[in-house]
Amino acid sequence: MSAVERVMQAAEDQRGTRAISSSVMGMAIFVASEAIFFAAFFGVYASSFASESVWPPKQIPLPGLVIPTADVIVLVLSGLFLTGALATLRRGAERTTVLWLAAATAGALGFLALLLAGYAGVGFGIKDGIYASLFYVVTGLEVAHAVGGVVLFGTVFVRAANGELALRHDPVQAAALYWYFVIALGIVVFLIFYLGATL
Amino acid sequence: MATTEVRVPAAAPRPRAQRILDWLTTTDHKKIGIMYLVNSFTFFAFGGAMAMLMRTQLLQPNDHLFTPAEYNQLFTMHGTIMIFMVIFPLLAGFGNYFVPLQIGALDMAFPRVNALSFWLLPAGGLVLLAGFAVKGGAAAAGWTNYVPLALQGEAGEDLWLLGLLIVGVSSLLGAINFIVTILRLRAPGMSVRRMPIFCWATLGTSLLVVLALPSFTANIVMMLADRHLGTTFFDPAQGGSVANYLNTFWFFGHPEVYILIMAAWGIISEIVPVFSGRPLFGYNGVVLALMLVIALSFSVWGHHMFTTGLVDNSFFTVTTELISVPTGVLFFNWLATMWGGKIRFEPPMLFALGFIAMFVIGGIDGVWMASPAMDYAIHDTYFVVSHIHYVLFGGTVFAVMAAMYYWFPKMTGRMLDRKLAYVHFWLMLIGFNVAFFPMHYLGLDGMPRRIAEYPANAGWTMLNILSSSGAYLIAVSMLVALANLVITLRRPRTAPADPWEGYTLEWATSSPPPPHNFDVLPPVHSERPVYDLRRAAVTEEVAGA
Amino acid sequence: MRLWSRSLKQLLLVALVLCVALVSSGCIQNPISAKAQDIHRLFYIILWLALPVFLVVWGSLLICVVRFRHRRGDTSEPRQTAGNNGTIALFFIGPLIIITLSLLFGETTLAKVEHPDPPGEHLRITGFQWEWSADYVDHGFTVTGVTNKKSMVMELPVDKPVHVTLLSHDVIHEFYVPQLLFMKNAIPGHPNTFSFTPDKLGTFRGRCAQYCGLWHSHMTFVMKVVTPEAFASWVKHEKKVSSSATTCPVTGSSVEIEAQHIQWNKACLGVVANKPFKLQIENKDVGIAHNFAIYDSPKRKHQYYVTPTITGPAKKTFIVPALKPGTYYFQCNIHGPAMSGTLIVGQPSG
Repeated sequence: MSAVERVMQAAEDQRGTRAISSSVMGMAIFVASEAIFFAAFFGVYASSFASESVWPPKQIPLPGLVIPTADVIVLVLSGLFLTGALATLRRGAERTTVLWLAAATAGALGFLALLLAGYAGVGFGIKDGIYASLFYVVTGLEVAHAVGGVVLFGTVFVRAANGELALRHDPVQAAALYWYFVIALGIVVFLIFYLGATL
Repeated sequence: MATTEVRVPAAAPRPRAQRILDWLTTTDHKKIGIMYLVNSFTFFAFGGAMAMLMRTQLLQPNDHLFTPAEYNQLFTMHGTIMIFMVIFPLLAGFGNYFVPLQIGALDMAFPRVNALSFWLLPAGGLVLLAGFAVKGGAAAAGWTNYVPLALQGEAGEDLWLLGLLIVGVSSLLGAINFIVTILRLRAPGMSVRRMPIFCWATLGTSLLVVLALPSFTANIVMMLADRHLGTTFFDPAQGGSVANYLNTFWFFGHPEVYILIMAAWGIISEIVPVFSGRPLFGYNGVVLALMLVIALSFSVWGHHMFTTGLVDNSFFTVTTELISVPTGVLFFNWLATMWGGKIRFEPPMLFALGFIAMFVIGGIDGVWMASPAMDYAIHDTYFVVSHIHYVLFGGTVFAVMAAMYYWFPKMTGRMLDRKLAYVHFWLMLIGFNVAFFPMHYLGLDGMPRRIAEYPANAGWTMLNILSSSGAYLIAVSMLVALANLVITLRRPRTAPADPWEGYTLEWATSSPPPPHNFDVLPPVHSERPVYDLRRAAVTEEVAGA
Repeated sequence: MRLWSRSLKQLLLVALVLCVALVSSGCIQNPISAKAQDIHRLFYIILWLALPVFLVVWGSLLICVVRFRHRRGDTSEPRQTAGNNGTIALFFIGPLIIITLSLLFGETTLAKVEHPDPPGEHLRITGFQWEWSADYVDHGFTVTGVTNKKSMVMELPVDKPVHVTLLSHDVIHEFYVPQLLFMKNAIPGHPNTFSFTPDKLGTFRGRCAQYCGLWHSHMTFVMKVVTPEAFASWVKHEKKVSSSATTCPVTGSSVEIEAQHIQWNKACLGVVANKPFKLQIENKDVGIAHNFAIYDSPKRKHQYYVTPTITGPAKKTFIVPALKPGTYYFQCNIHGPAMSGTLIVGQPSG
């Protein structure tokens, strides 16, 4: 280690453990950009909603509510497991953390599976107007994000199971941040595409 | 402090293949920065060549050097390449090289992500250019790619969308990297209030990228879905709307303008103080101005839509006029910094002065266009073409050249030739004004932008000839700069660590810096650590004597 | 020092004269309506507001370059003081004053320009790739042009207000007459309206200002402002042209038509009455969409039939439900009257 690196390390130590790590900060910024990305679609949703007298337009059948509701519950559960993982991690109970992580990963998988299963109950195609366009593209992007989450959890889980948690916590924290975003997204999508359209 | 440990003995020159592999696999921010610059200047040559072809077409009325189909591809790709492949990556390239040095860091926060964001860039650029090779040619809907016109495009349009999607990912990753680097990796003593303005500007640019670019990405996703999946986001007959396109595009598109200029402001705010021998007049004022620009830039997009009847023109006028205030503050700060200084007319300072003189014209043009009633008369005419070039060429390109002459010795250890630099400067300044000032008149005289040809009886011929000759002069000036580069790179490395009596940390290390950046990191007690160091040395000398 | 400041003054003076001359010689159009006159005035108001900004920046720049240059042999250090907050606050206030003024004048003019003129002629102007058509709603006729062949010529009576509804059915276009100092977009799905009162006689060239694809540069039109008498006789002439009945023989229950270069190859089609008939459409315009719609007359009060859009190159056949005997009007809805014709429904001749 060069002299300069030692100085930098000292500065790092000085900032202490309260400072957030690079990966968590990077993920936070990424999530902010994701929020803007989806906001563009919700903006289109809002302006289309405002300009149509009947919503959804074209008298298309609404998607069923049963599977999506179950899906959101599973999603929120996965978030609770994740919160458990973060809490035990803070206490230093690394073994328990791995278990919580396993539960959260399972939850994420369940969410993804139900999300895909939900398409079976949709009675309109992607070409059926603006609501259908938004529905398929936004839920499609949600699926992509769920897949991303499952992959992220998978790698974090494997590394945690191999004992990485004793060295560093930030990969888990960063993955958790991402998943909290997916949960928020899932809830918003459920509210406006399923519940909101039904009202 | 021991400084000898990491000094690598001058190694025997390695085989060429090995050196190339080094570059291809490097995660060193300095090498990546240089690759960014080389890549951008290469695309600059492409984009510039397209501009020359366009100016040759417009040299005379009814010229059929190109068919309209070809000309439309040319101006579309010229704009796209200059904006996405040249100007932003140039600034990102300087940022890559100098932000870590200026804050006294060893590298970027995520070196491997940094390499990825670089390599995505030429990949995206090649996808864009591939349009010229497919049936139907490259995209031809203008860089603004308005629907429904863009929906009519052929394969070239898809390559355009795909290419920009890739470039977008590159920019986003780069921006996240910059923000984390600047917020977390500053040297001991470097509080945010002591950070060089260039770093502030890069931080600001990155924030703009993170918050604005995703809207464009969403826009591209909707466009691809409309083209290939049968969705109707932009089809008014099916519940979609053209407004969906315009709003998501310009919500990105206007902050994009600041993405393309803010780091240039940062460069000027570095160079002007150094060559005036004074500190920046109002450090806090400049930082405040940058932050205000960022905040306001998200509320001005509607001024691109004054003539569409889709937005509240009065609201967007107020926000647009307001954003000129912080911009004005920057000018006054640069001028007040020079006032009472002892200005050294080294090449970087010359280009910085050129920047101030030209960018103010671009800014003033904006006052006309910010007024909707006036905009009704000049929107979509050559007046706009003039304005954007006074901002992006008179502004950013002059700043980029200033940065090139300023930092070239640091990057290569060689000083660029001064005489050739002066020739470059004057040719570029004159060529630029001859090319773009007449466009104001053409616009006022009713010549719309983006027309492949104009009638002989329109009375626009003389001004177009003038404009084209200016454009050729710019090309000549660039050849002079290229010659300077080639000649200098053949010379031995003679540049000292601090050839300009600089202020910021990059001047505290050797030229070029060692792979680990610093052997000794000076203490940081102000925003001018290297100036402090020089003063301390002088004081010691005096005390010793 | 004295010498410097004298030459500096001269330099500044020259610069001042130069830029005033440069800018005020600007070929901003001579306005041909009261609204255009307002915009014309706004141009010069903003010029006078911008000039001080320009002079302050360029003036200080020149002063700095001349007075505060580093002189050979001078090793002393310039003042190292940064600015105080008061001065920096002034930097914010200065531009704020300029933009407030610009905003005031701008908004006043905008209100005048947006204010509807008194009732007058009503026009529905449609932009399409790459031509215009103007529907004289009050007189029941339409003028149009042919892409790359002849521009649309529209006449307007002087001093009479004109109310325009601007439409597009394909891509975004922009109605622009430089002498009106005005342009407005024609946007699919979003009709725009504006009004103006031309007050100068003359022939003015208009254009599409919004880039709209291949022949954007040829999408021109001519606006003639004429005396009321000349206008009346022009209207009479146009009405006669549009009502002069085109006829053609009724041959059977099957017709063919081709679209090429934004034109139908036939101006008249004849089919037998009270019987569904076969309609074959070939669109030879690559990448351009057309359709075929049947109406009662060019006023399009009632639509009898419309095909989906066909993007060329393509050939499609449709079965049109039976029509009663009579004379009908057909057009491509995307390109309007520029692509229209007469449909004769009757008994087979011969």
